[in-house]
Amino acid sequence: MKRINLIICFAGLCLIQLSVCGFLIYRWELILRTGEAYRFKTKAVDPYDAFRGRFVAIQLEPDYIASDKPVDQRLLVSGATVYVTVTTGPDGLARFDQCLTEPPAGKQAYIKTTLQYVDTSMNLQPGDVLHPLELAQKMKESDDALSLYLRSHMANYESETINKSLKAGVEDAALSNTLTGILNRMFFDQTLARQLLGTTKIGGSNEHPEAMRAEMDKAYPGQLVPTPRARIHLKLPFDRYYMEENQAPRAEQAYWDHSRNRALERMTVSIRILDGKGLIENLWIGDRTIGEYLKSKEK
Amino acid sequence: MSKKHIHWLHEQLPLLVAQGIITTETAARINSHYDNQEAPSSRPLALTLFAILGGILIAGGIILLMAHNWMEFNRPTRAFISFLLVILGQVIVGYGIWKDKTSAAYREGAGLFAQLTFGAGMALIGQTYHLSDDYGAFTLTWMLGTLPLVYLLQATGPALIYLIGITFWATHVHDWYHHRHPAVWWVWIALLIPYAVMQMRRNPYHPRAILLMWGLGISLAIGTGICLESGWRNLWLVIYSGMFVSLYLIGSFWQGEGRSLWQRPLTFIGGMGATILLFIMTFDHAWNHIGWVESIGNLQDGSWAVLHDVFLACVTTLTSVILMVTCRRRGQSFQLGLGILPVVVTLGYLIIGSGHGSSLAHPFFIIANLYFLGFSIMTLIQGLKERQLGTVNYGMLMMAALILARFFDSHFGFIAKGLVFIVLGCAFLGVNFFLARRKVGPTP
Repeated sequence: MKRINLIICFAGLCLIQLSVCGFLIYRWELILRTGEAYRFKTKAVDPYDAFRGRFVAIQLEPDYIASDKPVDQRLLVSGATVYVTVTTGPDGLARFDQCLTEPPAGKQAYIKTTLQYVDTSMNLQPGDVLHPLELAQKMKESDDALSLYLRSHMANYESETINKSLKAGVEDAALSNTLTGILNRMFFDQTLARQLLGTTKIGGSNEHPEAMRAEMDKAYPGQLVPTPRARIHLKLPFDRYYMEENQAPRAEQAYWDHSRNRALERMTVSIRILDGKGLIENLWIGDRTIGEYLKSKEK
Repeated sequence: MSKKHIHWLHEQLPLLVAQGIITTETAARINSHYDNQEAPSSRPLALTLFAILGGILIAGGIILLMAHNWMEFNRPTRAFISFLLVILGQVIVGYGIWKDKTSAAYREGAGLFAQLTFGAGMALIGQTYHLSDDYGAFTLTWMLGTLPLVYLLQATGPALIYLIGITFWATHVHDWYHHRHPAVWWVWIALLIPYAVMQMRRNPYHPRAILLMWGLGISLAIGTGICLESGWRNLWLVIYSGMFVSLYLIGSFWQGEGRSLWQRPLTFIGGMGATILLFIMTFDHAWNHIGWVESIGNLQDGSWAVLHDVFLACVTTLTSVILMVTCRRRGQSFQLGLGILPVVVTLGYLIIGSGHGSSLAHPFFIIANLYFLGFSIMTLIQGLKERQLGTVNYGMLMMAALILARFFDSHFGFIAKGLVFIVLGCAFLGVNFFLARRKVGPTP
């Protein structure tokens, strides 16, 4: 190749490379500057990326949509592109609302993402308990057959967690996890089913937990998300928050401190959403960003 | 000639003189001829290697520094650093092009450095905006964005990184469960073929061409499997046999004169792959699970992706047949031994897979065993003829593997196995006896 042609080609390559970087920066900057802000509750752990350094792995809570209607599994197949609408609950935290196969009409915020799988088992997930403290209170005090059974079959550590939460009066992941653990065990307990329902009532393997679930709703009305027929799990496009290498493990430690100690504030992540794309803006502990929080800890 | 060979010659010459094969004068002349020959300097190679290592280490260091993720840097500073990194690589390459620097050391070192700094710049953007697990898009943008460096600088280092990158991309994007097969990988690899052809035409035994062929051969062996749709049961046997044999024959045309295995990468990868494949076919389950009639149903369901595999099977088999014909015209008969493998496999696949002739699976299994045995004997004889210990060992190894596999094979009765073993043993002894007699037979 002639030298002049070589120089022209190289100049073209330089332009392409710089444009790629410029376009990437512009695209993400636009979302951060003009996107709508939402705050999600999150879990955090600290992994590693050889190229981009250490990050805090983000797992939104809940990271699925509980649907009380049967899901059309021909449309919502694993790996399908879906549009998930976002709403803000009364506690100020954002939640995923509906899972659609087309972008929603109007100005409702949504995320374009991939469907991981649809769980149609009747298992409860921590996010399905609507009022963990209230449920825990009822479970400890009510004298109905179900509560008596649950109390007598509770492990020591479960009892301890519930007592601690009731004493501190703070709802957290540990309490929700414990409650769902107890309830799930109950759903599939044949002895209890015989006691409460009588074996004649139970048909196939799916009917057993469903019947138990109905019994549970009778004993603790309004405590759970209305009988989820399906739980739509999503592959969310925000699962990491990059941090300075020595700060990321401290951020994870902060998360664990806060999830164990009920008196402390919870960890949230703010996400900017624009035209179906979402971008993490910041990680928060209470009203402080993770950076501010860690700095205050250093003092 | 290497120093080792000259040393050997110096040792041999007095013996040859003592035996009266050459005269003292001839020996002296040979001695002085090789003494005056200047040993090829290893300086340019060392310079290139150090330049490559330097480029990789500095760029790697920069990537690690950025990975620390300095909290003090705000977004505009990070954007500035991203651009700075990319420009730094471009300036170093641009300076070389402007000053017309043609040394391999500069081209390889600068090319690798620019390739890595472009990746570092993009990684920093990903870090700044907390982009999630987007390795696929990141790697592909990085590789395609730096591929022109290979052509502009005629550098093999960036070409090897490109091959690693696109093959990694294919493994990352591939999702068997969701039927995602990165067939476009063929386009990405084809983008490097003109460069490979250029290097091979220039000098097929130059380290640059040899390294490239190693990279290309290994990438093809891995990438082909990743890109398969796998809807057609065991069609991979046809595809891989066609591909390995094609690589083997291309290698024997282009780098057949290579002195060591290192200098014949395609022959080695293709030959090894085809032999292993043939060995797999000596087991009956390879033939029992063939079925293309059922796969037609996939087309009716609208899964047209299955056509990718059929197309690939046709291309690889046809290529291997064309190369085989060329091979025959050139009189390279030994290569034909392995060269006919795709024809045998394709015939077997078509006949057994039609569903009507599934009882033919067993005959093909027998044919594969005889073929493997025949090929191992052929390799052994070729090795003995050319006095190449490596080839003899290879033939022996193949035969040992076959004997071992069939000895423990439960599909044959003990009597049948025992008789075949005895007959084969007698045949070998007979050949041995015949050869020995011919060698020491009475002289006329």
